[in-house]
Amino acid sequence: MKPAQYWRNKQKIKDYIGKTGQVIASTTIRTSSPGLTHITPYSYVIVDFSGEKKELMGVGNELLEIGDEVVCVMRKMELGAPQELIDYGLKVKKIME
Amino acid sequence: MKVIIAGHHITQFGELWDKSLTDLMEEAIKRAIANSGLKETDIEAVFVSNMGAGQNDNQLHLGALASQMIEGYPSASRLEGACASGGLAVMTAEQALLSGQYKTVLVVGVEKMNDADSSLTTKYLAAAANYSTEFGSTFPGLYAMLANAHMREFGTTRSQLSAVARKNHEHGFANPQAQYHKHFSLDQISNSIPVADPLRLLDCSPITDGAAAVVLTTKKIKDKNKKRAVIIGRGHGQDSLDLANRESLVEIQASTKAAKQAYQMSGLSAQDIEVAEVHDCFTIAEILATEDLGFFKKGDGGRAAETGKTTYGGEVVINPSGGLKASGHPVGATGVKQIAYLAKLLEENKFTKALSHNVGGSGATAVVHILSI
Repeated sequence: MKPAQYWRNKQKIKDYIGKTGQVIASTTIRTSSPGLTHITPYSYVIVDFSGEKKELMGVGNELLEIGDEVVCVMRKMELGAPQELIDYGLKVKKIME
Repeated sequence: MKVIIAGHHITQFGELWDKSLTDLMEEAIKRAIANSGLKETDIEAVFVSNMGAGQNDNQLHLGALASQMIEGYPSASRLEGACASGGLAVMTAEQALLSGQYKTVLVVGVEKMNDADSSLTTKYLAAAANYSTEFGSTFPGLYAMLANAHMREFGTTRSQLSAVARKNHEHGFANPQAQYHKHFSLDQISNSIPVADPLRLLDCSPITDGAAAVVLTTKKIKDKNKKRAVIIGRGHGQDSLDLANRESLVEIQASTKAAKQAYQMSGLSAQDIEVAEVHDCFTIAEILATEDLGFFKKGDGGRAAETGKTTYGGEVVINPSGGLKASGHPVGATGVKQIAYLAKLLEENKFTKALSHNVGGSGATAVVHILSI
């Protein structure tokens, strides 16, 4: 990832960390793009944050389903070359009862 | 003013290791012009559709590349709208004809996908989504979410998805240029490798090399020995690139908008269409298309496929070429191939009213054409 692109993308992360919402669409991705193969299978979902809808990955191998309540967290995103910036971004995690 | 499909050609689709991007483009151009019976110097402009030559082949400026294959160096430009590039190029060519700027033009769609390794291909196909807001998605992953939504709302089943794939592979036997000529059972499809739940490998269209071209004209052609298809309706719809911002996950609204325009222009309705090439990049995409184009009520697309309503002897023949699923999906060529294939069927008197439906990405862009003879 290019440093300027990384810097721009990270500006909004703080606005979402801790936000909770509900999964309204989901799939489990079992064949991923390069750079994400180390975490497959992973959930890819649309979350409704009280009206604002956002597409996000689930954390780790946690499989999310429609109706699950989730919270936004910051996690490592993609594997890059060793000398590159570590890419952190938003993912969602299931809220346990 | 009518837009006549004067000539057409589709190259072999498949893993064509002996053919380059340039080879495929040149074959499509030369043979479409030969099929039209016109001279190269009759072509006043060329419209090229392609998505990935910049990333895969380090080749841009495709308009100029195509133009130098035609005597007289006609004006040329390139259109890109992900998998809808071909439909957009045909529509743009028609607008140039109908504006009166040109009388005869050529549209060529081409994609050379197999020279790149699979990771690069996956990455460039993912560019059809919104990179910054859909990170982590894959092309099958986005359609998988649509499939889950359809299953949840209408009870569409795994077996109905498989019925689409099986039917299109059966249809593919009638198309000599198809990438695959292979029978698949419902069980083989339903138990193939999982890609993004509920979609499996045999729900997905393949990686394909290929090209297709059509010669379009508004001139009268005197040739009593050949009937030619005419484009009588066209429509172009857009929706949010991000799935999250769509009003519905069980409808591709870009398709319904494009179809409405095309039906209105042609004076026809869905019930008048006898045959259609629809954008089945994934099996769920064909189910959505047959509903969004008005062939079946919303929610009934899966059952229609399962009960034989979308094949010969049913209500409307969907994807007689094998569709993207069996014929292959060379991204930039697909929309042009759909129209070229339907024009040939109409010329052969197999049908009289046809529809093509070409979609970009997960449904942000859609182009619909209606043809008659």
